[in-house]
Amino acid sequence: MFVPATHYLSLTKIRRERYLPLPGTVLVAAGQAVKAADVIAETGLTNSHLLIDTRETLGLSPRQAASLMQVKLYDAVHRGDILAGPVGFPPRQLRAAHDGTVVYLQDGQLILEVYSSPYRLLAGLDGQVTKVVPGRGAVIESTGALIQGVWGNDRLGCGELSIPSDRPDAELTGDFSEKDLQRSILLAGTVRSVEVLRSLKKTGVAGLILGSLPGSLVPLATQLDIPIIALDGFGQLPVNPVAYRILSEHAGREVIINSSHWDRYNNTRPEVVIPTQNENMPIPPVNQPSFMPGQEIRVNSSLNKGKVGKFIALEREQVWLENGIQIPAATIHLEDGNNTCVPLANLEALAVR
Amino acid sequence: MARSAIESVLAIDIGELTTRVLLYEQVDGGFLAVARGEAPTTAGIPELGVMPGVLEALKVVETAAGKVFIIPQGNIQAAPNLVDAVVVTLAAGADIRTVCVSLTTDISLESVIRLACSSDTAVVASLARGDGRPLQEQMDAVLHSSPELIIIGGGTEHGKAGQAGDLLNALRMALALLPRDKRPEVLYAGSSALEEKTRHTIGTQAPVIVTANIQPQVDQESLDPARTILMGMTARLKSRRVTGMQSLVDQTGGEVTLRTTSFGRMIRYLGSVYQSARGVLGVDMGITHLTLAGARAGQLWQGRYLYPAAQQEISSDSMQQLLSWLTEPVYPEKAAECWLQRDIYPGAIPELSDEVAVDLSLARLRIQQAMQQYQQMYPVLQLSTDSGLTPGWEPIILSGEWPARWLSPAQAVHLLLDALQPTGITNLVLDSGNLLSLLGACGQVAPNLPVDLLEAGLLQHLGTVVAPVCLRAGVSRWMELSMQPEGGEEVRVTVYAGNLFNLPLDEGQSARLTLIPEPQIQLGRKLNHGELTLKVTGSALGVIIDARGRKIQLPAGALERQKLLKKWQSSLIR
Repeated sequence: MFVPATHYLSLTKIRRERYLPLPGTVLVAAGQAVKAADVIAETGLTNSHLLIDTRETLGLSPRQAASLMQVKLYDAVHRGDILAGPVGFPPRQLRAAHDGTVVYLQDGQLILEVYSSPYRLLAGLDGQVTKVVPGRGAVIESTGALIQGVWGNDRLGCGELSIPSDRPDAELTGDFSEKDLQRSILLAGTVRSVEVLRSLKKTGVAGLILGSLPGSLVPLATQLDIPIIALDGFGQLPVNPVAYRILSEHAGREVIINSSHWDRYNNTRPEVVIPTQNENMPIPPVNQPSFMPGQEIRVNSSLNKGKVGKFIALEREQVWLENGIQIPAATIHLEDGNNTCVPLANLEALAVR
Repeated sequence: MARSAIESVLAIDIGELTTRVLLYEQVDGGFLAVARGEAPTTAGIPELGVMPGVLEALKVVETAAGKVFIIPQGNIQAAPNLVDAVVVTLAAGADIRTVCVSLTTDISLESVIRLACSSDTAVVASLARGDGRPLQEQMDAVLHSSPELIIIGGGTEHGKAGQAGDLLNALRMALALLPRDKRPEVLYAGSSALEEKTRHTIGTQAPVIVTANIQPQVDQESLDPARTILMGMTARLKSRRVTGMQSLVDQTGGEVTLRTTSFGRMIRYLGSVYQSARGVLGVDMGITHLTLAGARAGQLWQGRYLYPAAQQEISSDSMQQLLSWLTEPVYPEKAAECWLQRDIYPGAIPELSDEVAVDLSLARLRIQQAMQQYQQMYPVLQLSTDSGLTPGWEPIILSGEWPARWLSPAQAVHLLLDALQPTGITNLVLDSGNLLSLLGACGQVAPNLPVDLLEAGLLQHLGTVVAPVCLRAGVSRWMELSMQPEGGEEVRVTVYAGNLFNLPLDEGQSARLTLIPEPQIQLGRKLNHGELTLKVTGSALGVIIDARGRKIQLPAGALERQKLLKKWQSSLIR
């Protein structure tokens, strides 16, 4: 049975499509190498438009107005530039009140697009541009480790992976000097203190990878402007051992943390990418995960929430819930050595390598 | 009704989490589901699209039915020797970004928004002539929202056409600034006097589809013709967006119907079957959306509502509402975490009692939030849980992907009673197999199919609810009640304020129910010499007496409140 999966891959080819929300300008070319924080495209997401009717302003017919226009379509104009005229006596002219571009011109009506700070689309990972979609964005490919999360606060950052404790359930505390944290991406089981979370920005931390985030800190985490990712969910869950193993192998390395929201229909989810030093390493294939014996899984609900293990077998009979409803379930072997029965709906496949 | 020539239908349902394929065939003159398969929906994975999920579910159907639908190349064949017709219903996929426009007034804009919200749209901007914004701001609103669909209304058939030129010009120029392949489709549902001007002004920039005016007179709204067109447009736009849908349609020849459309269609049909003066209410609880559809006298009022994101809701009043209906002592932080976890794993099934409590309270909250919006959207229905007995609904049907995953009949009854707080006498019904909307689509090709399936007991009758309303505070004794089952012993009960209990009556049985209310108690039906007698039929929970009053008042203290909720929870027995 096909099942959607979370990826924990120590070496893989990562391909990401990065597109602007509105048409704009792509600033990269196919084949170009990019860094995660590079701007690859930009658009005037919040540009405003001024409708200027020279017919009304100068009292002209559409034909007269068209013949008196002093600008052409897509001309860049500066404040004070003459747009139309002169006409009449004393001569009257229409001047631009703002810097902008003429984006519409017909029958004496023009639209001036007035710039605001552009929306900038970042590459999101270190890699190479493999395809450019004119006006929209690009496809970027990279090689490295990939660890997907379940929740993020929609930011992007990069820095050196720092693991303050050697335990995957360690709580992040404010117990280290500011110098240690400059440009660091911290990995910890969880954080419980509002003050610690608030102080991170001041200390120069570039991002936070957690096993879980307490519900009470989610509103604050969404406001902080450093990227924060929860790998396993909410509460006080440790970093799961599979993700912890891969991440701890890369301590001290440059990592990219893209804490975008998990959007199932647009195929985006929070992730950590650790670009490899050697792009020519052979990449072993990843099998399409399915609920077959041996498949690595994670439990996403109830008593064993956040625990990982291996799929043993589908239960022959559906199991009964306390409310008298029957549902399909499977026996799984958890990493802590126990076997347990879990509803299929509460299992998630892990693509691990 | 003459039976159609269609004798078999392959029904494919692309749900938000689960893809199902059902094969219906005529057996002994009636349609039956002869094979059924399901698999996880794969719509969200661009390199895969919907097809792997469909093929997986279809393989199960092939095995059960002994037919070969999948040819070696992995494509689906739906040749006439295999099946007479294929239908596809679609719930998966992001909503269509929609801008609502009124060329005249705010009142028309409300009608346009009502129309938009009855389908799979996300209203990203709305503009009306005279809404106080300069034309260039209105133009920017369109441009910044990257719409896929613009719905335009405004003006009546008997009033002045008005000066809509400026707003149409603003729309025209906004459309002209978008790349041609990114321009939205336009649905015009306004005054016929402005139709030509609209076509002339913006028809050169984007395709315009014209439908009947949604507000033919000042005091009359007519959404139905426009809704039919809109549903077709949104189905097409959504199918285009969801990877693999075009391929599915090409291979099967099946027409795509949005789940929202077919659900409304079935509720309207059930409204005509039940001939209930109060109207039928359908609640379709999806994984990310909830649809409410009320039908009475052939008319349909429908609204589709997105569940708000947990990360915003946990720090709002909604959190308090969720906590106030918890039957278990759950710390607020834990409840918030359960809610957040549900957002990332919406298909997970709660196993622990505190998770069950949070999930049920969340479902109650979601129905109530949607009902509040529905009330605002359709003030003409005069719906209110605290306004006594009008108009009420009978029956009330719970359907959808969410309840079908794990909800028991008793939990469904509690959910509907607590969330909707129905008044008077009504019946509760559960679509436990989540098939109602699929039947709505099947009915388009084989009108007898839904009729046969409904007659065969597709819907589960949960119970007959008697929910009296007390007109004066302080009345403790509300009603005398007796139930005389056919061939059984009579049961007599005195109903007091605050009671919630049921009188079991097995399916297949019937009984005479006699209610003698106190003078201050209303049942919403005319009494005969101070009493009301009605025939009731057996169901999952029989006759349910809810004398908790409207609105239900909960104690302020958490312990006292949970004790009461727990008592109510255990008060319904099977």
